[in-house]
Amino acid sequence: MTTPLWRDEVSIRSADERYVSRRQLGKFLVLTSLGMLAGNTWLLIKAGLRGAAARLAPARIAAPGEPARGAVALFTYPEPEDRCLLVRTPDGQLHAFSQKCTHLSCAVVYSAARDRLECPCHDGVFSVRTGAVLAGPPPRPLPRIAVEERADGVYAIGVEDGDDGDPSDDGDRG
Amino acid sequence: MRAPPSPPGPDRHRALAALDGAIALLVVILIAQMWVLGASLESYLAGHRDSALVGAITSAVLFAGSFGLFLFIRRLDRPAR
Repeated sequence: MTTPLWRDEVSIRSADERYVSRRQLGKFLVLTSLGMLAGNTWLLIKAGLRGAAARLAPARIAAPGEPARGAVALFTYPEPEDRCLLVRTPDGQLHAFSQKCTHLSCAVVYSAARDRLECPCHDGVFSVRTGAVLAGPPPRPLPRIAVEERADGVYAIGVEDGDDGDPSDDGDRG
Repeated sequence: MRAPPSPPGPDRHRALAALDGAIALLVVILIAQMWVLGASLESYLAGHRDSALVGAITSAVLFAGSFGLFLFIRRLDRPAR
């Protein structure tokens, strides 16, 4: 079989060109793989930083005995833009949570009549005792603020990620 | 000046097949890494911070594999050219 004239004139060896493109593709794939590793490392660093941030300085958020049973006090913790709510349930226990709904970040409110936290935007419902999702679209529990009642007032002492705790202790699912 | 290309032969064909196989494996590793990153991110956002460490270790192992394959491609490529 004779070689066409143009093949002699144009010195392109297709096999060689394929070799180069494969090597370049390999390089590109490895660099993308490195990018994925960088993404995972970034997540790991962020998780470590969040773990460190969970040990925060205590902050006084309410006067002694406040709020009254069945009432709510608003505060910000740990940063001034992090709005939270402190609830004293009818049985006298204090519970504090981030006020930002885990669905689309609307502000959740305490419903004293139903003794639960409700998001008015999309009818998300959270347990006032555990922060667990009881109903609606929120994908995660509310982050809980650890509180401590001292002689001179109520203190926020840290932020805990919302666990998927058993909401059955609330008895009002749905 | 461009070096004259090596003549095609059975060794070269075998090398090309090995290169294709290595690149296909690289693609599989990359897809697995994408899945690991996606799963780690989702888990992290769900509040499970421990999964970030597992994800990072898995991703590092997969990257080591892909880098090894890349070195294999380079080593195979040099004498064949």
